[in-house]
Amino acid sequence: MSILKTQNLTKRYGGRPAVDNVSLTVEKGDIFGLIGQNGAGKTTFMRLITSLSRPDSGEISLFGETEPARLTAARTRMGSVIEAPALFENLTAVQNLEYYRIQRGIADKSRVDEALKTVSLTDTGKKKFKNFSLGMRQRLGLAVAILSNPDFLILDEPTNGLDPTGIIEMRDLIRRLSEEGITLLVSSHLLSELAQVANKYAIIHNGRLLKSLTQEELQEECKQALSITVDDVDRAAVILETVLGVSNYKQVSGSELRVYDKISDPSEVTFRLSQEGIRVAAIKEVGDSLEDYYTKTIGGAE
Amino acid sequence: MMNMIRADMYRIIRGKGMYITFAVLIVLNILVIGQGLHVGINYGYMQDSVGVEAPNLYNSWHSAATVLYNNMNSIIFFLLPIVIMSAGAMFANRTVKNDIAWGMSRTRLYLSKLLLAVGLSVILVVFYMLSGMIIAIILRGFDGSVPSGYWQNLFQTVGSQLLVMLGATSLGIFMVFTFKRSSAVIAAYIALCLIPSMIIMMLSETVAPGIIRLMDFDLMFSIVRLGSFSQLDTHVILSALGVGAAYIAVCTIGGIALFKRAEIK
Repeated sequence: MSILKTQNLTKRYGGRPAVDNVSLTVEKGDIFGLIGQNGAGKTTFMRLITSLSRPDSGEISLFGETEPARLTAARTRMGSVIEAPALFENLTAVQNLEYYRIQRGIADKSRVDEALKTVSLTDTGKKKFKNFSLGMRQRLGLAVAILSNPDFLILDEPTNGLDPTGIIEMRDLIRRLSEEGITLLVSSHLLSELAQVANKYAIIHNGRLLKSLTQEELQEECKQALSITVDDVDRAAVILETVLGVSNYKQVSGSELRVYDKISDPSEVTFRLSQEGIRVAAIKEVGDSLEDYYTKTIGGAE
Repeated sequence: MMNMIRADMYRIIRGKGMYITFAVLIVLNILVIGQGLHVGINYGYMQDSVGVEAPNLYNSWHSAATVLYNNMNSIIFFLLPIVIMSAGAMFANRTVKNDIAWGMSRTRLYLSKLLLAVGLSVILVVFYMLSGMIIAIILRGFDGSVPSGYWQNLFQTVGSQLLVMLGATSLGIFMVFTFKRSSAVIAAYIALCLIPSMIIMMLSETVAPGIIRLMDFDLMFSIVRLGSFSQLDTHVILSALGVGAAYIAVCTIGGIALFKRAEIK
């Protein structure tokens, strides 16, 4: 079941597209990572989903609803922290949550304590929001977002400005929320950061969606392997298995095999194959790091 | 919408703004009632333009009501903290995005802030009158007797002035949703309350006397005029009330239309 589906979503500022014909689908249970540089259009995309901005064209479907009034109602099943968390500076953590509990008609008063416990902010006492650190602000913003038990959570760069411990805590929290059944759309400018939590990814650049892929596809793209180009892949595969003891390999084309097992000496492969009369046209290490892959993807778009 | 208003009351009660506003109002009343100060009233102009007699300064507790009616136009400035507390706080703290992103319709959000500000404005006017009367009783003593028709006149006068005040409240809310910055709202609100009447009076005295008719559309002047409710013709009363109603309608419809199209920062 799709939680969010956009079709050709477009938003322009001064004639320049900030989001350009973006179509993507977030399925129930996903932790969907939206990756892009600063100014790529991630936040604008999220602002369109949350109705903070109006799209110039395209369609948004949230929980299957597309008609404006029903779409607005569907947003009550959603929580979000877009850009920096915004709460009342002169209220404490409990008071801020109590404000939103009353506003959203949540009868269960214990939800305030539960939300604070989830984000580990139970001990802030009378400290006002204006005196909170960046990490505490992020966590309280998240507490407000989860207060009404949303089915779908949108987090815009939730680890921005956090220290390493804060980043780990936020990552754990995202995983925990996902385990509780919440579908998440999380943005970041770091693929390596999102790769640790997300199961689907979309790379956005200059407002355009460049690539949408699953975790498996990403791993495949970034997997380190030994690429062997030969004149007879079938025989080469047999030799790899029987002579060199390779079990994890894949035929990627009519002349190329990729070996994912660790091979300490690639020249041994060339030697054995040649010995069996197979001509080795090329042998090389392939596969990108996450950052290489990301840079290559957005680089190719420019 | 009621939940939104309840939540805002929860927030306002925990802030200092409301208490400071009411404390300053008490101080103003002590000055006005106790010292016989008249803030912003031009009795000479009142007598000349609409034939209203300057009030007989009170010699009994109940005469304080007349002073309070005639100073009601100064209360228009106390509506500024009311509208900023009601709606301005959500723009100042940028919490408006939480409300919209959560699925609150922009129309409902606007109306809930307007209703809250209207409610607080009514409380402010009632508090102004009550505190003024109590101060007068403390200063002059309470003899228990009032002239005939006193209460009817009091309710008619304050009620009609309140309607025009709510026009000013609607204007303030419109400005908050349009400008989104408290400093801009304060400047624009004060300017719109004071400057048009000053210009009209200046021009009517120097260039075109007929232009004085434009004063009929001025909020401040309408409030001052309704302070002499019992002495006014029906058409003057209706005209003043019409100004208040027009401000409420135009500001609310225009404010919602603008806010529906606005980008939320």
